[in-house]
Amino acid sequence: MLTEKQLIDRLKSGDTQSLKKIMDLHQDYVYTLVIQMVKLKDVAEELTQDVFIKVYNKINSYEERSKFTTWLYTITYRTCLNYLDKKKIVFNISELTTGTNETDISKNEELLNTKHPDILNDSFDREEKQNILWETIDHLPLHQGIIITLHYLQHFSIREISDLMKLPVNTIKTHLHRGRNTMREILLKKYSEEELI
Amino acid sequence: MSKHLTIDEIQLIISKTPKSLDSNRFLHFENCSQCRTIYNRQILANSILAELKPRTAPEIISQKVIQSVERIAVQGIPKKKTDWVFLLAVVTLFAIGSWLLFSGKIAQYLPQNVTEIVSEQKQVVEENKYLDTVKDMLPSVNIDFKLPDLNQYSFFILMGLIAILFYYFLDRKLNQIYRIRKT
Repeated sequence: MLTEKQLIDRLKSGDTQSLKKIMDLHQDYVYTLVIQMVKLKDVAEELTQDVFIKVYNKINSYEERSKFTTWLYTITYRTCLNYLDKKKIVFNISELTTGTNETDISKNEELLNTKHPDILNDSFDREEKQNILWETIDHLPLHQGIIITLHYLQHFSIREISDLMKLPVNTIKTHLHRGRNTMREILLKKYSEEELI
Repeated sequence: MSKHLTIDEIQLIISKTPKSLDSNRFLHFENCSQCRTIYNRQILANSILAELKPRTAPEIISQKVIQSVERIAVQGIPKKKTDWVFLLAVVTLFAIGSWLLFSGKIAQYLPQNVTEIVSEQKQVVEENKYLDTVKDMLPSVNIDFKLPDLNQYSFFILMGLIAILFYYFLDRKLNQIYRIRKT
């Protein structure tokens, strides 16, 4: 079993099979972040492909001073931003400072009123739990969803998220906190603590 | 009663790294039901989110990427049709430049005349009485220089080289963009 560093070295020498192995390790995470940003499955598939083709084309510019995942998610984040920019979809930074807007609140209300399958019984399995978590994250304001994904899934520190999104550390902290609280409130209205943990 | 703990302070307690937390703040935390409630809520939210797993990407993504990358590896950089447009544009510019050069319309401004102009200017400068003073002050400065003997043909070759370099520059840049977007 090759280490990530060995895979990167092989990829730098043009070994396409090592890209396959790198994709096996990271493609779900990249796809998750992409879909969190663009919201459309078809587009997310295309952009995920673009990200890994960029990785192949630019691997020689990766100098290993930072973690590979930091470099990879930077490419992912920028690829999505470029897409949103081209589609004239405003990735509104000011939304970060003004917090949840009315549309988001109404979406959350809608989610609270949605009837889920009866998960109070013992059928509350892992897959269902994941679906519920992602559904809840999808209803958060865009930035909060991205920040939560980066922090809890990609294990980015607040400083790393701040560097990636080019936003102040305190803004990231505030929105991470708001996102967490909103999620907890939404989930607790539907499920008990025992079911969630 | 001291101030309630901030979210950052509560997060420090949760992460069990409360290095910068004052002992009085701990005392407050121990005795404040409100802070403990927030702490418990944060613990709950963290526990829920710690379970987060990525969505599953469709298998087709890696297949398509590997196909594209293998194609690049075998064929090299794919040529773009519009390269011909740029080549044509560069060749046309080159032809117009050459025509202007040989038709004499701009010949009066070109190298052989430049040499004459420079030598005239040099003569004027040398006649300037102040320059002698400067030359005396700075004997190490050599103001004599020679322009390379450029004629129409060498200028023509130089322009050709510049045109080729320009074409390769465009070709390289465009192919890079093409390779990223279209493969």
